[in-house]
Amino acid sequence: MTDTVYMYALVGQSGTKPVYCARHMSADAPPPDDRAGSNLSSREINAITAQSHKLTTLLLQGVSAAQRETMGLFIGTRYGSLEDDRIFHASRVADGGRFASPAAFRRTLPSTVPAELTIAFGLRGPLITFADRQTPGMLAIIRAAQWIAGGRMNSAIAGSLDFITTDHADSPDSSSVCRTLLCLLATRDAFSEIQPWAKIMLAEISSSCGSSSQDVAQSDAADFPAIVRLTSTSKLSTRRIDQDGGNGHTCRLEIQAL
Amino acid sequence: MTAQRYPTVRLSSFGAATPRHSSAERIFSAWLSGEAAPPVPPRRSEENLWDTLTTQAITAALPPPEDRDHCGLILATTKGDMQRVEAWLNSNSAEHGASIPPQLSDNVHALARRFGLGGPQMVISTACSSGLTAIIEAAMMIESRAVKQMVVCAADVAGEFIQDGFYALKAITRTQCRPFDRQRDGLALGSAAAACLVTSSEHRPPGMRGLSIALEGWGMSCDAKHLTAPDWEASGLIRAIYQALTGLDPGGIDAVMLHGTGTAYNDAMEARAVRQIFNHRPYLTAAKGFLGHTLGASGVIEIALVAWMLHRQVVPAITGLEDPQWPELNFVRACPTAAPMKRILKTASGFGGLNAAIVLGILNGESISHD
Repeated sequence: MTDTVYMYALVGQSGTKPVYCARHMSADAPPPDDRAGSNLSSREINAITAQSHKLTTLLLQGVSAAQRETMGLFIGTRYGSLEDDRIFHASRVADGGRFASPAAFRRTLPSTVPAELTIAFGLRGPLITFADRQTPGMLAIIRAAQWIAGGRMNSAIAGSLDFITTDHADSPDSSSVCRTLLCLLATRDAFSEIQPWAKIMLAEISSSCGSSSQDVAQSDAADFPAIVRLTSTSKLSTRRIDQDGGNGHTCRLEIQAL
Repeated sequence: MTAQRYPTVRLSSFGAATPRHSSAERIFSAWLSGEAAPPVPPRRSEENLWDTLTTQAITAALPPPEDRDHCGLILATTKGDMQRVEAWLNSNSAEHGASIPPQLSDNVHALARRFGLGGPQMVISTACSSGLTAIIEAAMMIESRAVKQMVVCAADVAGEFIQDGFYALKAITRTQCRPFDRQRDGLALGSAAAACLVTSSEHRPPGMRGLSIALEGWGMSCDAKHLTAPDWEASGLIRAIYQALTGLDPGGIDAVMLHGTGTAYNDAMEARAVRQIFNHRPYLTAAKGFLGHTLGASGVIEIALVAWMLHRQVVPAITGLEDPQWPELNFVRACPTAAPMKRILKTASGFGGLNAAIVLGILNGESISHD
């Protein structure tokens, strides 16, 4: 992995708290969406779309349209399209099954919001959406890094997207989750306009023999704060997260600031 | 990217199940024999149909018991076990937040526990290209030596929620699914599960059963155009196919198993891609006229049928195709065609403009069947 895959930027937002990490990005940039996460209603189906679009705009500063043509998008999600499932279901009940809202139905896939990003930003590389309870963002980042390391693509956006309202969000500090974490990964010389900010030293998923019989922990996805901590020190040297997926695999991500 | 060839990956131990058939071989034989397309799925699917289908499919794909602790599992699905989700949606829990909702990843952990698979587990959900995407991702994990063996299971059950959605989109046929026909007017839904074991081509799993084929190339690309409609120019699909053919001669593709949903736009897009890429006339077939559109399951179940095509050296006819809109293309219709085949292309496309393509062939120096 060393000398192969680099992190150029990382952006994130959970509720109203934005996170930015990149050489070329201003540390005092304004919050990308001061509405998202704070005043969500259950019918604001585009809250995660708005948040992820604004953050992606930041992430892709200095990346040309031609470079986006082959860029991959690897996204992990815990809740997937469950919020939109509820909205379509409500339409089925209100309007009668087969006369329910087609606009709502077309959003009932975990890949819908990532697909919207491909359309908005002209991303035409591979798209993979992973569903994972504990480590959706790390899983996506690790898999994207391994694709780049294997020479299968030059660059990718990888991270996690989640949106769910009310008490279903088993998050201790919020009645809703609207959370985006995205990083830009690429080879060393992928971009001429921007410089990498950190090097990926290790990105792997390891399985522990026989642990699949363990129950999956019910807590909220823990990798978002872990990744934010990983990248939050401006003078970091080498930092590593070992995140237990709780279901037979451990995600390991180690980065070194350049 | 460079035009290098990558090591081939082995796909073996295919399992498949539908409400009518309990193995890939039976499905293939029924398709070959001209069995009628399945009826419209019942509004309420059979109780525990998800469990029944996934159990039948995965059982056939399992490695020997001593290898299962380190064998991973990828579940490819659009919606997972929707009976659980629908029960939650219909309960007060969904309205008042009284319980944690079911999550897609619950499905893969439950299956891994049931079958004692202790390696990495993940769910991949990329609409109707989920099955091919999962095979590609498993191959990438094998190639990067992250794991030695992966079971890929693809499954979806077409219950009320999904049926209502496709009716709302006006995408369901009023008569019969007729892929590539002038009279085509929409898709038919189906329920299915399919599974296979993915290993490196050098690794011949002990006790390997059934058929074994090579995954020789793959590609994925997004249209980046529209959430539900495919790109009329087929740009994403064409890119995916060219990636899959990297280092191969397109003229070496003997047949193509198309996505072939029977919808106006999908089939037109695929016909355009075939016309643009191939100068020769490979045999063209598609299984959804016979199976229905099994959504996230469709990619893997159709790969299993490709394995049987290579084994039997025969191309089944497209069920429902009578009057091809593109007569210049070599669609197989009316009756199966015997043909010598070494290499078959499989394509899939899904909502969001997601496209995937893989090339499947015969493993060097090996017989396809290990029974």
